[in-house]
Amino acid sequence: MSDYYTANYGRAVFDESLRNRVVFSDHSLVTDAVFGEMQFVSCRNVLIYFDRSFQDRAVGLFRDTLPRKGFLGLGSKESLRFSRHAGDFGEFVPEEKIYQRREA
Amino acid sequence: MTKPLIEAIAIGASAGAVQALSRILPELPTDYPLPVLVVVHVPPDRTNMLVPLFQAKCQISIREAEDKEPILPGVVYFAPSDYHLLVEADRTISLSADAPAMYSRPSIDFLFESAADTYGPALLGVILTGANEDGAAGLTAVGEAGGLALVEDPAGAYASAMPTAALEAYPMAKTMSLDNIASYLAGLGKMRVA
Repeated sequence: MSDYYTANYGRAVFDESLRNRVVFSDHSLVTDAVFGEMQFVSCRNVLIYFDRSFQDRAVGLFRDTLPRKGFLGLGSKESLRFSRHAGDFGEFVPEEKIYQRREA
Repeated sequence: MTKPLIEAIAIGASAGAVQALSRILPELPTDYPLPVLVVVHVPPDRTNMLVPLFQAKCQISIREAEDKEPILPGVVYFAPSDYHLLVEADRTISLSADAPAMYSRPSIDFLFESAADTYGPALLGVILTGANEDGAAGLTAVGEAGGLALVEDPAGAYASAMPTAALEAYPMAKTMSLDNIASYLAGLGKMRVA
């Protein structure tokens, strides 16, 4: 892994070979649909601004975009505990709020 | 002081907070009939030691607030470090990562203003010891919504700046010594049960 980034002073910089291939794009968790299969979704401190029904919609999108065993990372005080889709994920690294999509 | 039916208590404290809360929270029983929401200015690192610290010395249940959690009586909710603690209209908790206010996240003003919106006259807001002016605007919002505004007597406070600023912003607030605040809060519970 560390071939692909340099970490120092509490920050990490991706290797340029990766950075050149990054695509930035707008996507609305409220109105848009899944746009591709993602191995890892990081969504930190966004869900706290949604009410329960929008949270359920967003987490449903994350589940549908992840392959089985794909990862979801949330903010340090966010959890799937109150989500309708909680059962579709397992805790992978609970203290870092990294979840993993279940097999079935 | 008049005795309206209080349904929730919000407490804000900064420098000297642990000692001040150690006088108040251990006085509250397991079956305390009100929720208590607390913002203490803590550094934004991940481990918040306040919850285990107070769990060890209190009967009332002590928790770190979680997003979307319903606000229950008999529970003290501490704001997590690096998040604002807010009360929603449906009496649930929400957390926010908005910019710090008065150099602080969590912000006492944000808690008090959102709790005043929800609880109105049924809210008791308490400003304790602290070294900045956070909470002054929040306590004013509590008072203007008809709630009870209470301030630790600056003369006896570990750090007087925060209670002084709260009193200047909202002179109608009631001033009490820390000991009297502790017995007043404990007494509110008995009043409700009786």
